[in-house]
Amino acid sequence: MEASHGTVKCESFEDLISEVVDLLYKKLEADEERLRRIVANLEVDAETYKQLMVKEVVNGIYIDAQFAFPPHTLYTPEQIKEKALKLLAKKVERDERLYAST
Amino acid sequence: MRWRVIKFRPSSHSEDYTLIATYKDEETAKKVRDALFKMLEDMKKNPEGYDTDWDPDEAGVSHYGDHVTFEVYTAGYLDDVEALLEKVAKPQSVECYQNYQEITIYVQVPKGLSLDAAMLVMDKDEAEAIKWLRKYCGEPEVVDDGESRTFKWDYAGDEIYSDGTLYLGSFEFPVDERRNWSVE
Repeated sequence: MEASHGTVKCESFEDLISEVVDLLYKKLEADEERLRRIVANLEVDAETYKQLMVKEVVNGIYIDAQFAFPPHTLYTPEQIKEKALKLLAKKVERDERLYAST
Repeated sequence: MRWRVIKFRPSSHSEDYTLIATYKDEETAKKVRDALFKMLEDMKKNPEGYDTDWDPDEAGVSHYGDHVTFEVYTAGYLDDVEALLEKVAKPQSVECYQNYQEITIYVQVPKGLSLDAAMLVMDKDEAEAIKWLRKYCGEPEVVDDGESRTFKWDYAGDEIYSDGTLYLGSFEFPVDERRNWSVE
């Protein structure tokens, strides 16, 4: 069964986190020019920056993702993925303001 | 790919948090300190861009040598700060403390007594406290003065001393009931 982000519907919390990680990396890789401007003023390289950003976003959705599966289904996996993407956008905008304009 | 993430949910009550990041040199530490100041300014202009429960005016930023210190009263909303500490430059370490304390613990014994011998003649609780101090603070500085000898430990980390009592893991040691113990 296909979900809206083009990935296989996840069956478990671990699957969902793995899918979120893949989704975030794809999104970051599609924004290469933007990332290049941010990383230009940092001492970490682009790969490390991506890893740190993915870690930060996953931390931000990790608790809610636990509630996307029975017995406590407060969210759907799709909602968690949407939330992760919104959080990523917010954090990349923050980093642009902080680092890309230096 | 499987991910394992250890996440501590922000607590329901707030504490004074202290983050201490160590970098390769003072120049790098200054760069990170300046980035933190810039972030605090940005938080004032764009509060919706951050996930925090604290006011940027109430946060403290300082640097000493290759260390950068960030302090704030929060229920654990520090993701934005931790991310900056790791992105601006690669830290050698980042330590996080709740109610950070720097204290010195003194234990007075008769002159000439070694710490091992002192532990044998002290009561069980004193020996237990010294065992903890040796484990977490290392061997003490020994100061001989007149007829007495003082063992001195410097401690820096999460709060362990409050209202005359040392909280050493699950063990409580009321220092104020001991004439030969003191904490500054």
